[in-house]
Amino acid sequence: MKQLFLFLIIVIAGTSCLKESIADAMLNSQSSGTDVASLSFEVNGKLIQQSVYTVHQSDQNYQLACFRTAYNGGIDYDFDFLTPLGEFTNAINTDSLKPGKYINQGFAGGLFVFDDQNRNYFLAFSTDTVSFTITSNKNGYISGNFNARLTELVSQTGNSNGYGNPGGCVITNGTFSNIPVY
Amino acid sequence: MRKEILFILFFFFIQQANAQIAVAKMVGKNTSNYGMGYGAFLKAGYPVSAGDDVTLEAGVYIFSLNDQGYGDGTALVPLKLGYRYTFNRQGDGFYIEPQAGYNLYGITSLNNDGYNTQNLKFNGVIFAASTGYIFSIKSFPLDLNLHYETIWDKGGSDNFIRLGLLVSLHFKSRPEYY
Repeated sequence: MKQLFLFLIIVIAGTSCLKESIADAMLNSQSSGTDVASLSFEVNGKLIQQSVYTVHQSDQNYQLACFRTAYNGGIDYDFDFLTPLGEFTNAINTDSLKPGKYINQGFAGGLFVFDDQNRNYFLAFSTDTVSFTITSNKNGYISGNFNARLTELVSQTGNSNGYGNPGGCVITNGTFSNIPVY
Repeated sequence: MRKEILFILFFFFIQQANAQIAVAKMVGKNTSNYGMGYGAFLKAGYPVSAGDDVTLEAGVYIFSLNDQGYGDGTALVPLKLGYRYTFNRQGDGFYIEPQAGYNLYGITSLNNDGYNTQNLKFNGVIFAASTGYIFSIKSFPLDLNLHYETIWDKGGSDNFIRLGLLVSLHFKSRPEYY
């Protein structure tokens, strides 16, 4: 009887110490659904990652979000990612953000896309692109991947922008998941 | 109804026993960031034989995380029933005591992203065991023991060990049992 009791204690103690904590089990259960929005991409080989619990976000207080905005000419889906190093934005003009590829190209005057520790990168030249591939848009959450080729803004005088080496900022292996749409 | 029963039990404990304090340490996976924990609990035994007691224990444990002052950590409120077996068959000396019970309330507070605190609430079934030595100093009964406890819920487990020097309390005196 004593040996059986000792055996049971050893089995229960050993088993329990090998299990993850209750908090970790609950968090892992959450991240398998849409409870966590996440972002990952590389800037000229430098990895940037961000994740946030959806419950901690709102349209007024967010880190990874997409805003559906209707205006006279149509509908924009404005992605706004606030990373530890800076902001990444991209607007897709479409009536319905179905799974597929959406490409924005650079144009004269330029459009801000990304800043990395106060160095700003634009869609400034025709060779600059931001390519978003939407893989899922369900129940108000969007997932996909992206890449970009941008040009750094090096000077600004009045309304005139000065740019550096065209396409000098290369963003690769970008993925985003469970981004809430507000 | 359950709250009324618990209140009656706690009121009975307050009449029959004194609250006791212990230090404890979380053990297991990802517990290295936990500091020393503290607990306050009520425990008393009811002799069922010359050498054995049925025990009832209820308490509160708080384990703080070393998280630069965010105040995160885990709190537990276990309720356990146990059977204490003394090896000398006289109700004192060395003993072992398996326990089982239910965690009435558990919460782990975490600050994951530097902005908000997430509170994870849980309950869970409890398995525990103690080994110790009951002795008296000038007729004052003391219980020096090492205790291991594990709470299972949501697919995970919270575990801790406790080293305590407790007042050994009983609902009735052992000589009455003979």
